Amino acid sequence: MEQFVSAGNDPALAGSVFDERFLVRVRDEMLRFARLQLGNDAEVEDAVQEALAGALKNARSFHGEAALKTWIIAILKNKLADILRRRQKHPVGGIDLGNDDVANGYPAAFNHKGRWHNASRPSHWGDPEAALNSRQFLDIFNACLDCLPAQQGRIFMMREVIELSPAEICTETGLSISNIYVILHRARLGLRACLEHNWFGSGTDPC
Amino acid sequence: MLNCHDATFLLSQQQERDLTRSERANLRLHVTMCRGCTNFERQLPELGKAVRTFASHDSSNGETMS
Repeated sequence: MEQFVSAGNDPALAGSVFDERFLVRVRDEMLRFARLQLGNDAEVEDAVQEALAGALKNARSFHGEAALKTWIIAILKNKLADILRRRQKHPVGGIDLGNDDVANGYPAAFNHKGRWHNASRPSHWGDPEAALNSRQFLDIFNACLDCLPAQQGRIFMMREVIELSPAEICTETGLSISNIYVILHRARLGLRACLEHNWFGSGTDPC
Repeated sequence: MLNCHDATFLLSQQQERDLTRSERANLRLHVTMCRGCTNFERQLPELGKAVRTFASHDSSNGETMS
């Protein structure tokens, strides 16, 4: 049930036609979403607050919480992309491939000829759709994302979640486009190996 | 002839850019004969879906945001 909320102690949430608990919950989700991609700082909290306040100005044109939520997320994604573009003045530096490179110049999944090691060869996952929304899968995914070198995880999120183009990621990070391709390749190799081991296989050690 | 590393690198780049005709031809030749790279190719879109689901999930009650 929608209801009028009291002013509360947060001006951004005041005067909305939506339930206060809903708005608090949405704000928590937005903060988590934003921090995953930009880290935990004041700029992120401001972006979330602005996105929420901006969306609520037009809240009356939405007929349900789901539609409002979709709208809020769209606004937030734009704000995050803006922040990333502004941060281009502070590039993150060189490429960080983590410690998975062995002497032969290939990532650890491959042998000296660049072929899959038997233990690393991707297997058939079947249909993972059902797993995607399970709490357990998302916990494992979280652990696997944490195992990646920070730069890989961050650039993978920029690409797949914020949906920045490779050129935009170059601008944001100061890295070359060929470095971006290498980093995304490593991130995908690392994530899929970790997921295969811990979700589709029987492993218990994420990294 | 591509090796598995080079093939997966092209498959990954295919998420970001159009491959050239010769890259595509070499890639198909390899992937057709390589089960590991065939599976890798199938898994790529699933990784994207997984990270988007993950990013939009509420940590407390398991609802999705979008």
